Amino acid sequence: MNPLFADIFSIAKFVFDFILFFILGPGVLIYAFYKVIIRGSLRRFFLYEKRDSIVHRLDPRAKILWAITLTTLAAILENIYVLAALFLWSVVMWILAKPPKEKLITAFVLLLPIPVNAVFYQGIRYGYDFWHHSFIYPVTPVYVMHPALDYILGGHIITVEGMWYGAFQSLRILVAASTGLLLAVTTAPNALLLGLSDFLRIKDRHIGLPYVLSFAVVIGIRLIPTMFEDANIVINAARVRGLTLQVVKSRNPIKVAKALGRATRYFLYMIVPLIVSSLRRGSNMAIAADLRAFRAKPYRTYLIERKFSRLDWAFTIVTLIVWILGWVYAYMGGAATPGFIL
Amino acid sequence: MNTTVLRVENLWYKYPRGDKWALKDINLKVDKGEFVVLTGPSGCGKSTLALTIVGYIPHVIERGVMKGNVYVKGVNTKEKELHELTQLVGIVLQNPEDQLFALTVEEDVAFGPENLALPKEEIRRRIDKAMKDAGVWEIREKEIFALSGGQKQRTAIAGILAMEPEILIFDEPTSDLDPQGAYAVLSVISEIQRKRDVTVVLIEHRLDEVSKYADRIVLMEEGRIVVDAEPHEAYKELDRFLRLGVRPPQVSEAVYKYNGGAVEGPVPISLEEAEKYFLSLLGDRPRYPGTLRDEEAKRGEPIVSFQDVWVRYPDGTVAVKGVSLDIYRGEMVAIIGKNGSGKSTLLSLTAGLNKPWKGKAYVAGLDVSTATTRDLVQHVGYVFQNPDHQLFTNSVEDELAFGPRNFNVPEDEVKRRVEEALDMLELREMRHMHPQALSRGQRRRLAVASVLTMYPEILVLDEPTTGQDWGHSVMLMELAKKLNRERGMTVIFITHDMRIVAEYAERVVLMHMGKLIMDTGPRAVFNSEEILKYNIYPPYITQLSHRVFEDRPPVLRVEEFIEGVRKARGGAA
Repeated sequence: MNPLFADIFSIAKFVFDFILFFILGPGVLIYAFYKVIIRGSLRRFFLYEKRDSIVHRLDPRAKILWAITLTTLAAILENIYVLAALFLWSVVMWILAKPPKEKLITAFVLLLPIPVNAVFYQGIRYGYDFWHHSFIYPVTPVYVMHPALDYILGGHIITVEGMWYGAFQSLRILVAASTGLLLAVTTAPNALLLGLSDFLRIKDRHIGLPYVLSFAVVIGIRLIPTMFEDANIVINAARVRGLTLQVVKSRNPIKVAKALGRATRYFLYMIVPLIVSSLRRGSNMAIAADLRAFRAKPYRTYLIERKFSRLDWAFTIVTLIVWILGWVYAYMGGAATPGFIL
Repeated sequence: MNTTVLRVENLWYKYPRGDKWALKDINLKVDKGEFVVLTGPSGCGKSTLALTIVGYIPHVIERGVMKGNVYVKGVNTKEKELHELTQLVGIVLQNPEDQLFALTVEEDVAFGPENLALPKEEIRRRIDKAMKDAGVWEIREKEIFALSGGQKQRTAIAGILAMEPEILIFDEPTSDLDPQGAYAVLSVISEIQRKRDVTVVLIEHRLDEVSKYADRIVLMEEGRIVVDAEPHEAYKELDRFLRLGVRPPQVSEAVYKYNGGAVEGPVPISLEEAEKYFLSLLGDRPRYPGTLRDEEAKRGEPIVSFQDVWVRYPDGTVAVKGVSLDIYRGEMVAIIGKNGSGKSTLLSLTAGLNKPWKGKAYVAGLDVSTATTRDLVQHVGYVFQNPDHQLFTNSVEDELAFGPRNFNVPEDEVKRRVEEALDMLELREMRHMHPQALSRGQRRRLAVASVLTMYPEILVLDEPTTGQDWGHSVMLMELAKKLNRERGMTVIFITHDMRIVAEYAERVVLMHMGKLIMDTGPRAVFNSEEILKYNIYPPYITQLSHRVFEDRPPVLRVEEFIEGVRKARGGAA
């Protein structure tokens, strides 16, 4: 008999741990995610809503600079308290943006898996030598799972050191994700993109992302409602000709495989008219754009004057100071990988 | 003195990989400030000519064969860069959806001037003026996706105006719009021409509304210009227009046909002119000889029955509000009303694409609330507006067999139905072709044919004539009529074209804001003053007979009108 499952207790322990970490844990996350998607708030989440708040009023460029600063500092700095402070700053900005409760919940659900996964997996794997079933550093265990889980999770002892390390890693990602999301939620997409294209102006020249890129994304955003409409019509047109996507409630693998085959065929049928109508639209759009002098000149001008207000200046100066302080701290030894800076 | 701003000389053009000449020896001169209407059936080369004038050919479509020259303000289009040409000549296309590039009206209008790298103050000046001229000033901060079709098209016009070209080309700018949108767009165009003193070339195949603005009508046939004359003169060759499936003004048609094709003097082109013409023949306003009444409705068993039906969308919009309506087997019913009045939503119930929120709907005895789309479409053939959205397969044959096969109809029966449909819709020669290789009119026919192979009892056509030329519209409606007469098929169609209603509907249902307003015969509808409240105007021939005859007879067709005039004159003499 396998010594790992020598008695009933160890079997029970295995079952308990398996359910807790393998079904319940991920289950809660997946359920929350599912709830958010089903309630439709995810699709609305990324839609910019006009709102009046101090964060909405900030110039997109100030916000872009801020997001880049926080993300880079989070990537290079090693001190968990500093990372926590950066994250806190982004949280404060979220509060100042006064988003509707629904958006906050969605943001929370979207971000939650990052720290949970990182803390858990780093918690069991950090410093763990799988082949010898031992740690290469001295560790403080928090919870010891059934050893058989080694073969599933790559470790079975949750340690304080590992959890810290996980928290640390997740903070880095959290800072990037939370600043990025905030930027998307509080800035009109076209303002954001044109902010990227028109980042700096020196006389008549504009320095930033090539306009063609931001143009493509703005067009994409503009066509989303049209595409949804088209897709809806195509689905209905297929339905009235007797082609529907059937949901099969069966565990019979042959039936499931057949249903999968049908589903594939269904989507292939759908794709043809969608692509055809997009192509026709695309070629018309190309004519219309060319005839409105698209890409006629090496640079273009912009109607919307992006003026830095006092608030923008103040915010940007604070951002820059933090950026400088961060780099100074990095040179003094606070950096994660000194080689990277040199 | 008139200065020529546009000159096309001996122009021939063949598309890359094309085997036929799309343009054949085109010669055209347009003076500054002129308003030229360019017309012809689909595929006659109108749009190609427009693309050569704006320089898209040969600058972007490079590999075609182009002979001859196009001069815009004396400049040969071959010798100027495209972006320089855009400031001389601008084009507005058919579908507004395809020509808007920003998220709000103002930003979109600024797109062109920004591309030209104009200084900010200049952009501001131009777009403000353009938005005012195009009638979008009030909605300048609105987001594009929230606009109606007509507003979108006017935004597109403003975008072109902001380039400040001296020649404006409009390529069927109203054919995707409802009558309200189309009317607003046309008024804006004529106003712009007057105010800005620009030259306008309007491509259009419905000539009723546009003829009165035109200084000249240019008719094209298979790549050639066959008529180029002042409108009153151009319609002396009216049979040419009719033969090509182009719709001349109905009032001109009446005068032309009355005279058996030989009109002395100018042919009237507007209601006022035609009224004057006929009154000069008739003297006083006579009464219409005889009576015109709607045919007695066929009242067999109801095949579609709506009983206080309400439809509500998931976002909370209530699109249909308490409609009760019975449609009887074998009827031919038109549903009219402006965009957003709930017409399509109501008909979508027949195929179960929406479900009643309140009330009941029955189709061929099935309760729509519980029946599936699969059940319903065995009785209902549903044809959508745009053929591109409903062709799924790789050959005409497969497309026709697609529906029956989905219902597991035995293969030999499928084959029989396919053969039958190939003949009925004259698609036999194209049976192995890819649906997307067909012309738009053929694709439209295929879309209808592939629903007919499912042997429906009810045929539902959602805007069968929108975006189509008159010839193709008539062909489609004639087919529907034939199915109705010969097979007893119930036909329900949605349309904005009142001439189609007058000529094909036995019964007309008017909807407004989700409610049923009127449900009666076409003559009664067009004689009612109430329809004007809903911006529905009778066909021109009906309006003309209201003006010419004392008793406002509900004339629906040109022939009826002519007969009336003949009899009245005969009686007088």
